[in-house]
Amino acid sequence: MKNHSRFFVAAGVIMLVVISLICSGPAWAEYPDRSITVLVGFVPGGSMDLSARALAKSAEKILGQPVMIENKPGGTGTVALAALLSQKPDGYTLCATPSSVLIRVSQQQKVPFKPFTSFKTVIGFTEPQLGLVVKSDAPWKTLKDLTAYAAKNPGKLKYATTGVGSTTHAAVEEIASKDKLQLIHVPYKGSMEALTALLGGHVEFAALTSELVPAVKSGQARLLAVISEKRSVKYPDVPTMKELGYDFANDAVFAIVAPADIDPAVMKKLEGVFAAAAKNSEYLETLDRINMIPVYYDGRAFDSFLRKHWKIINKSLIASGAIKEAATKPE
Amino acid sequence: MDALNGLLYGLSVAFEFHNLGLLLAGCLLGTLVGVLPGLGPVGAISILLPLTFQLPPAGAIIMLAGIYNGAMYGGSTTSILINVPGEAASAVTCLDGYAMARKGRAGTALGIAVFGSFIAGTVGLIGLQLIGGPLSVLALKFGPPEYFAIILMGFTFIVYLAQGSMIKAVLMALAGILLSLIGLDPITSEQRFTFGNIHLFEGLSVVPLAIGLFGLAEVFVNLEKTAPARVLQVKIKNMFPNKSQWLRARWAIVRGTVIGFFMGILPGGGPVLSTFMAYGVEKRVSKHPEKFGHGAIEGVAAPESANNAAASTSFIPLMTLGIPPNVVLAVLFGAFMIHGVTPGPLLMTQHPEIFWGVIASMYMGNVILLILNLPLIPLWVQVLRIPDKILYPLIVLFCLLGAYSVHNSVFDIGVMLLFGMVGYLLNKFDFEPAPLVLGFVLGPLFEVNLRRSLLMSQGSFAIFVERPIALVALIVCVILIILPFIQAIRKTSRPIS
Repeated sequence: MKNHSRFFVAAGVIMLVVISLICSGPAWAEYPDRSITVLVGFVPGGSMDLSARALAKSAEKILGQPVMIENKPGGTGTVALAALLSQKPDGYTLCATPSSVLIRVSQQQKVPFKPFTSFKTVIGFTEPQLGLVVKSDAPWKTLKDLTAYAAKNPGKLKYATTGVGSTTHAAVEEIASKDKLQLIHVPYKGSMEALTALLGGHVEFAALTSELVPAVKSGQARLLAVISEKRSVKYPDVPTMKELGYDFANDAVFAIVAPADIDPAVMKKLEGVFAAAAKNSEYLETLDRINMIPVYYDGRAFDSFLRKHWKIINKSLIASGAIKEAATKPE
Repeated sequence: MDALNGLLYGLSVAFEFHNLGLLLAGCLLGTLVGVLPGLGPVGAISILLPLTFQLPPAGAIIMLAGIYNGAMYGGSTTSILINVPGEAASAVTCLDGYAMARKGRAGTALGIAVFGSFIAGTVGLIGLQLIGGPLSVLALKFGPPEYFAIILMGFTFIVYLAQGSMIKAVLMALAGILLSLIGLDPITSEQRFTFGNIHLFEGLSVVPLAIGLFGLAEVFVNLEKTAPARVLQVKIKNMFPNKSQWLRARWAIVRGTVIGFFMGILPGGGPVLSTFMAYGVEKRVSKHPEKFGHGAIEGVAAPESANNAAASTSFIPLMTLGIPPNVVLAVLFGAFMIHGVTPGPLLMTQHPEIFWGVIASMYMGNVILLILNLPLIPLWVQVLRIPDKILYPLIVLFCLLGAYSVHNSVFDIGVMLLFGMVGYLLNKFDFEPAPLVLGFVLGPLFEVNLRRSLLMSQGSFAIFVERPIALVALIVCVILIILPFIQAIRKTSRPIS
């Protein structure tokens, strides 16, 4: 009995070795010689999924191989990153992720990877349209009107965000702490719920992501400030928070990452392909339709972006009482 | 967009070629699962949900709604011909439907069930179409305190209307709420009951849970039944009821429709319960209550009308408030979310193609089902002859596929298997799984709106009584809780006086 099982184990190991040798193929074949899979840590239909699909479609035209999206939702986007690390670092499996999963979620939850060192970034390609909005019949025309009113009426104004510790929450916290305002935070799950609360008059203002665009367009809501480094092409007259004196900009950039130990030659090829893919006009139209803003970060720029914002987020999460210290070590 | 223009726009969506195809597929699949004992609309929608991922949201919801309506039509066939309900909402139909069939009136029973369903379903849809828009506007005024109070009222109704033991229904709803606590705290984003497992960060998902409880568990339960159900060997003829039968069934259809209409909107109500109520009412108002159970046509017409009216109107709270009133809609709620669409007051303005498209497609679905059902009944009878040894492994396979493909997650298969076993045990101990799933879906809404209200009021509970809608809902809750006690006291005090 014992001998039998040993024989089977040995035979099994030999089979596995042979199979893996066959499957790994000749090492000199030019990359890519088959389809590439991009894992997405969120459900189909969301902005992460749709923007990754658009970029993948553009990239496969340049690569000459299919680039397929595989949704692996779960763990607020961390399941997909963990799944990427369990794959061979051969460049055939990548992961599309928002930076927030690397630098925000991983501070709130212990995750099975090191945010700074487990991955190499192929490209940071898009970010959502973040902004501060009021109902269109509200008396406040500018952010200054709003903060002046809040200063005179402490504890009166209620605001909705997409959740405690989210970028939208941190943005309002920055305003409140700089102007020493007393505001009431009502967190919602996602932008759509927060927008519903604003339009129903249950909160006075809201910090939202891309869902604000249709509401502003239809005249239901007024945009007071955008939360990004630069003004939005769509709203050239609306100031950024930075211009108004608050040192805060969006920290959620969507990126494609590869395992850190990927072959440098393959990585180089991927960087070139995706940088070119991000210029495709059809892709840019899709981004515009789903209210996402195109941006460009190469690996190095994205790395310093992550390191800079890790610290900012760490400070704000501790200040808001969400965490005492980061749940994951960044490197 | 007013109700008429909305409907016309909806028809333009529903008549798009692919949507028409999806509707037809949904109606056929729904009728099939309705006919097959052991698989109801909850299981079927959960299992088929992943198939809709590649579709645009409107098409996906149109197909899933078609399954729901189809199941309401198909369920009666099995009840009438083999005395086994094809799904829960047709259980009552067995009583008189099978009796009619044994007396050689199977055709009439099947016919009146289909016509009653058509009339009631259409009336329910008119209600959905007319009420939906205004209620969406009103619903925008609902803030966290109103939502909290309405969901609390929903829970009270779920328990009050439970078919079996009230205590068991309370326990099930609480178990559902407890399960919904797994994952990130909705306000502070802290982890709860995740044990550091990343698969639990976002909590359990409703689809594997529902597939386990309603799909796999049913297979387990059916495996125990050794004696195969016998299809009655009758000639199905005279499906069009004659004049005297119409006259007898006429008011039963009207009453069934009205009951179904309101039970559909009510949280915790839904098609299943409406059939029991409609049957009870018919028996009470009938001049010949003794005929019930021996082939009274009213006993088929009323419940079959009620379940279709309820199926239509149960979309009202989901599409306007974002609150699923029953377990099928709870799974559909999950389907909306998976497709990135949040059902609620803004659905009508932001996704008119879904709001009106689904309503219009349900009108058409009713017509399709009416036309399809009568000639296809012999085919469904053939389906009933598929041996269990082929049917059940197939259902198990679909359960596995369905659970895996929602998140491409092996973990979800484990969840599904676990709840399959839980569902089997619940069945053995006479617990209903429906309040559990409702608790699971309504639990997070309940919690988050309670906490949001208190954040808004800075901790004061007065916020719930200061706002009229919330206050009314809370008063209804109190009445519902006190009512059984008063009844109990009356019963005990009567012999003394």
